[in-house]
This record gives sequence, structure tokens and C-alpha cells, in this order.
Amino acid sequence: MRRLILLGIGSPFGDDTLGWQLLDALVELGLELPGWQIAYGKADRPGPALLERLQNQDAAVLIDAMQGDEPPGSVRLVGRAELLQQDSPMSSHGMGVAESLALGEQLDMLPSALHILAIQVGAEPGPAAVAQARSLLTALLVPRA
Amino acid sequence: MDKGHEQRDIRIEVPVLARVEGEGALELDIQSGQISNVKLRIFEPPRFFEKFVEKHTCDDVIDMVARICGICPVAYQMSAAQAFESLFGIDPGQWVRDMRRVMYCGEWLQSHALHIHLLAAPDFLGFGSALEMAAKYPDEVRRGLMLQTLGNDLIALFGARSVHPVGLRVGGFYRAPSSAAVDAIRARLEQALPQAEALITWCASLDLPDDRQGFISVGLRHPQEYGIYSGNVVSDNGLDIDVADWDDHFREIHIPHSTALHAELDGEPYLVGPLARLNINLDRLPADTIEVLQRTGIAFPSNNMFHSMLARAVEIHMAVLEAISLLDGYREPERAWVDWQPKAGVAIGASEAPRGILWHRYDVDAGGHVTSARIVPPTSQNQGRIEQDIVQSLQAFGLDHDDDALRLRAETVIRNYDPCISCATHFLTLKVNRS
Repeated sequence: MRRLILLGIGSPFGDDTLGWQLLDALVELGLELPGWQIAYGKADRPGPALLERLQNQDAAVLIDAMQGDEPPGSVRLVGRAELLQQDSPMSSHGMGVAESLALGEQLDMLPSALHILAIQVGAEPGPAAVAQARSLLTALLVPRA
Repeated sequence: MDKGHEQRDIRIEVPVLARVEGEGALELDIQSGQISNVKLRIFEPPRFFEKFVEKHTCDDVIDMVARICGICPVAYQMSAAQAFESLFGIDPGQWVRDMRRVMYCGEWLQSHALHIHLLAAPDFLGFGSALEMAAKYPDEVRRGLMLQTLGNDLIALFGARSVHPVGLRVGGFYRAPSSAAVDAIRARLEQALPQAEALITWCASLDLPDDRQGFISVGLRHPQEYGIYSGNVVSDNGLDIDVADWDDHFREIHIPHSTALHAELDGEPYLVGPLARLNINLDRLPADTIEVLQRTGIAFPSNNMFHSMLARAVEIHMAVLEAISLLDGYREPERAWVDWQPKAGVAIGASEAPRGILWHRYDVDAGGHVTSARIVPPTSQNQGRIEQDIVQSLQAFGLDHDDDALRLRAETVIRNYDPCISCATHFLTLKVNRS
């Protein structure tokens, strides 16, 4: 079995909680991905400590709220290359997910498979979004028979 | 005029020190070869925490003040808890005191490790960021991340989480960690000790500017321990007072260019933080830490402000040793707190946040509700000293350097204090007006 961590990024407040809500919904759903041992976690502004959470994993999917052009509450996958293209300043107080991942890439501390499951702000994840999330994860991580 | 001796009039504005728990800017004017104006402008809007806590119970206040800072929430909790316990006449007992000290070591570990490896070191190694530095110094940056994670986990051991922990209460903790959890983290602390030792050696080997200045060091000093959790307020020019007597010597003042109050000790700016603490607590270091420090050949007390990073490394080593020692033979208590009854009066407490003394004063009513609050954080205390330092450092550096070099040195000076606003100084735009 390969190891996968699904890590919700956010906080208990406002749209920032959407990543946690989607994670909770997937746990409640009893998500199963054949061939994968799934660990779940939540992080509130983890900063560079995010890298520690990703250690010893074969794959990681970060679940986070997104401000984009998608319909509110919809989900999509963001790949490793797109994640690491972010160009943000770094500081001890304001070191975000993108900067931490860039540092992890530089230090070769990231799992070989790394994605973000992003949920568009503006609406809580409904049944359709949760089903969409499960489909995306299955297509991503489970090879077709 | 010989260009080599030209005295330029320069105005350097660093307009926004943004994004953090302190918003500020830097203004610097150089006229006729002299610095005529330096202002560390902090324009962060008032955050009203001292008003938010009014009418709340003491236990609520402990959780509320943790929200003031994401990097040093433990310090806010410790100063508040001790203030209330002092007023109520509570003795939480040795177990609580020891475990609070361990938790505090976690905060110092994570805060200092982050500052050294991600903020300060790139300045002294010629990199624009930790990301650039990581390409050439990956092992050092990994060490920083490991120590930071260890510190965070030590906080979470007692506080359930490392950012804004929730484990502390008046009289003790809400719960005691399990022996198994303590054993696991103690083993990690022992594994980290060689890395902490290597960090001191590494920081001492960096080519730091030799910029010696006169300043007053102020910190907590305890009869037996390195000043972390408690102690008297002591300075290297003779002050030695109980924290309750703070107002007899320290004064907060409004400065037009800062929304954060400046502070003076008997009318003078002063330094708080790692270098000041180490200067007045040298004989409270563990013997092993003293030995490692002596091997570097760098003598303390030091009046070179750039030794602040080395002081942080020394405090990391001390904190690892201290946590190992205090967790040795750990046993879960039957209960992690003592009972207490509120009492009306004035509650005063102080502890050493990673950046320096954090002093709290609360008026409390008979029901245990706070009716007014005053909090003096370390960064505001250091503002006057930072402005002094910028002037002295740039003059020692040489005002004939180009604008980029002057800006970098000024930012390096600011970052060296690890103020909350230092987060922003890595990515500031610079405007230079020449006349």
C-alpha cells in the first residue's frame, strides 16, 4: 500500500474553512482509493511546518479554498507545476503554502505526487462538489483496470 | 567636486512594511553627509486587544491574548496567567512551573529557528531569500525546519496546537500530556541536540559586521534559571526590580510617526530580546551551552548588535537542554491545575517572549473579570533602540555607499531585531529622492 495524505488547509473562519469542510465531507463519505493507505489531517496556516506533514508520504493532496473564476463551491485539481509557479515573498509570519512548497521543492522534501484540490470560495461544498472531489481523486490516483 | 568625496543628499523611503503583526515603514534622510532623520514608522491600525479583553474572565483572557501573535502566543498566555495567579495568590506547583517552562522552550525553539534560517542568515550569506539560500545551504535550512517543527510540536504537546494554543489556564493546564507522548518528544529533543550545537558553531562562523554600540540590555533574571518564564526585571546598568514595580522606571510614550507606543527606561531607549537576555543571563546558561559558546571564541556580554543571531542559537541550545532536563522522569499528575478563587485587584505579570520582555497589567473585579488591560510587547520597546541602531550602523557602514547598499544594511539592522514587522522588510520597494 502506498501512503497518501489528504491535508485540509484553512482556519475555522469564513471561506477559509472550506478546505476543512471538504476534507470532513470526504472523511464522512468513507473515501476509499484502492492501493492507497489514506491519512487525513488539518492545518491552520502551517507555514514551513507544512513540509513536515508531507514527509514519508508517497502522495499528498492539499485541500484548500481558492479564489478563481470557477462557480462557487466547485472543485478542481491544481497540479504540482502550477503550484510551484507561485511567486510570493517569504517571511516567518507570512510564509504561505506556495512559499513553503517552493522551499520543499528546493530541499527535495516533497512527495513525488503532489496536488491541490481547490474549492472555489462563495459556497460550502455540497453533495455535487464532494462527488466531484471523489471522482477527481479516483481518476488521479487509481489506475483504470 | 571630487566625486569620491561628494556628499549626497539622500532620502530613502521604505513605504510599506506590510502583511504582518505590525505595519510599518522606514524613512531615512541623509543631508551633507549626516543622517538628519530616521523614522521607523509603524502605522498599523490599533488592534484594540486591550479593550477586547475587558469584561471577560481571566481564563478567557488567556486564550484571547494568544491571538495577538501567531509566532509567540505562548508568551502572551504565560504573562497573563502569571499575572492572574500572582493577584489571586495561587501557587500552581512545581510540575506546572516546569511544564510551562518546557512549553515556553518550544516557542523559543520555533521562533528562533525560523528567524535564524529564514530571515537573518540570508542577509549575512548574501542571498535575497531563504529560498535562494536553500539551493546552496540545503542542510542548514533543513536543520532550521527540523528545529522549528520540534518547537511547534513541543508547544502542541501542552497546547493541542502550536498556533494559538489552548492548553493553558489559570492555575495550570487543562490537561497533562501522556507519558508516551512526552517520551517520544524527549527522544527527538535528544536527537536534535547535536544539531543545536552545530548551529552555535555555524552562526559564530558567519562573517558578521563588527558593529559595536552602546546600549542598555534589559531582561528577566531568575535566581536559578535562565530568564524565560519569570524573574526580576534587570538591566546591565544596575536596575533590578520586581515586575510589579515596572511603572516606577519604564514609561511608554506616544511618538507621532508610530501607532505603537515607544518605551523608555529612566528616559533612555533600551534593548530587549536574545542579545540583551544573554548579556545579563550568561551565568544562568547550562554548563554544556557555556562550553559550546566558549569554543567559538566570541565573548559575551557583547555590544555588537549583530551577535543577536548567535544569541538566538545559544538560546536554542539552552532550550533543547532545558526541555530534555525538565521532561526527564516525567510523570502524569493526577490533575494538571490547582483550584482558585478570584479576587479584585491589579494583576501584573511578565515573561520573556522570543523577542524580549512581555509585560501585562490587568485590573480585575471581584468576580474575576478583567476591567482594564495594558500590554507592553517587546517589539514596541525596541523601536527607539532600532532607530538608534540604524543611525549608528549606517554611519559605521559608510554613508558613501550606494542607495541599494544603504537600504540593505538598514533592512538588515531591522531584521536583526526579529520584530514582527521584519517579515515585510525582505520585499520592500525603495524610493530615493536626491537633491
